[in-house]
Parts: sequence; C-alpha cells; structure tokens
Amino acid sequence: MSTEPSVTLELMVCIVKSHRKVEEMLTGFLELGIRGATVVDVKGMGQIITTQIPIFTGFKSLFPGWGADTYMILSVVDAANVERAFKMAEEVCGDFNKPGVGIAFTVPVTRVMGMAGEWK
Amino acid sequence: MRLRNHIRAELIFTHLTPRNKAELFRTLVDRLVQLYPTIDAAELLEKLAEREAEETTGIGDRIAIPHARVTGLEQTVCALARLPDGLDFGAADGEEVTCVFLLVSPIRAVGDHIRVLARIARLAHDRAFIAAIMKMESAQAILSRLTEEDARHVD
Repeated sequence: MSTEPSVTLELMVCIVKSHRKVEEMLTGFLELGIRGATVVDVKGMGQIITTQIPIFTGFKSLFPGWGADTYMILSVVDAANVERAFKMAEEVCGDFNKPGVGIAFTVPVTRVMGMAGEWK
Repeated sequence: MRLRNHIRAELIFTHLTPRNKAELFRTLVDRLVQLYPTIDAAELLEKLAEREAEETTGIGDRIAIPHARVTGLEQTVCALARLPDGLDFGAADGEEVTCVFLLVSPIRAVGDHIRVLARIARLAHDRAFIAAIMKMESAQAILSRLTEEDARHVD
C-alpha cells in the first residue's frame, strides 16, 4: 500500500554522459545522505536519430553528446536535499546549461512505497 | 558534511615508511589512541585487518582508504599518511599505494561513516588535488589545501 510521505519528496532525474560521472554522482549522493538511486542505461534522441534513421546521419553535429554512453539516474530525495543535490550534480557534470552536458530536473512525489528507514 | 571537520594536523603523516599494512595500521592507530583515548586499539586493528582481508581498500591510482567503525569513539575521524616508498595494498591496478586516508567512525554512525568515506573517495579521484598534497612539506600545508578543496564541494 502506498503512503503519503511524511516529508516532502521529489523525484530527481539526471541524464549524464559517462559511466565515470554516474559513479561520481552516486558517490556524491552518499555524501549527501541519499542512499538510494536507480541507474538506467538509456539512449538519447540524438543517439537514435543520428545512428538509426539514415536520413539524419549527417546531422550529428546538431546533437552534442550524441555519441556518448548515456545514463539516467533516478532518485527519490527529500526536498530539503534537492538544492545540494543539484549543486553536487553540477560539480560532477559541469554546467548543465551547456549543450551535451546532460539534464537534471525534479518532479514532485505525492505517493511512495519502499522508502522505509534512513541513516542515523 | 565537511571532511575538514574530521581531520586535524596531528593526524597527518607526511612521511611514513612501513614495511607492511600491519605496521602502517599500528602507527596510525597509536596516534589515534593518543588523541582519542577511548578507542580500543586492539579492536580497531582487528577491524581494519578484517576489512582488508575481505577486500583491499586500495582503490587504485596509488590511494587506499582503510576504514572501520568501532566502539568507544564519539566522532568520525580521519588520518592521512603519505608513503613515499609505496606499500603493496593488493590494489586492483597493481600499483603500490603512496597516499592513505584512514577513516574511523563510532559503531552506530553508519550514515556519517559512509558520507565521509564518499567525500574522501571523491577527493581522491581528483588527481590534481592528490598531486598537490603529495608535494607539500608540512601537515599544516596539507590541511590547508584539503580545507580549500573540501570547501569547493557541496556542504
């Protein structure tokens, strides 16, 4: 049964461009006391368009980061930790406003299961 | 979380030449016990040895982060040792270790232990930072550089 969280939670989603950055992000999460995340090996739109749709293969330069391994990190975090998590993500990945660096965003979490227990 | 809050100049060894891990741990633990007399040296040495037996704490790039949680300690503390001659830690990359961060936490402080361990791991991956502290002449200079680097990361 899902429950309304007792603290405000957000789902943090980060798309990052190398496995090394994933390792650093997860290490950074641990520094912040965030103990859970899921990492998914994904493909971005640019990767698919420029490698699998022949007509677009000549447009690789329009999709910065198209050739990099791409990973999505998902973590439900205490809203009080979100700003620090974003700061840490920028430490690891660089300026997300630059093309090809990745994406980071959060969305509100209204119901949750399986988040029992936090470190003391 | 700041690593700076867990390390002090008296716990920075600029030049150690141990013959093996046991000798290294004995030197570091002796100093820790001087500064934190409630630590049981035998317990800490045993736990460090157990952890090494489980899997090396040599993380590559000539760095090792041995660590343990023990009874009798009230705060998480870190020691840093430079080993200019290198020491075999059985690291996966085959390199001898020249820089050791030893982390010790209270038995119940799992969260703090992991947070500080993670911060050390992130700093240790910064080659420029490690190269800088390996060249510095005094413990105080190393501590200052570490404080500066630590402050660049999220609190």
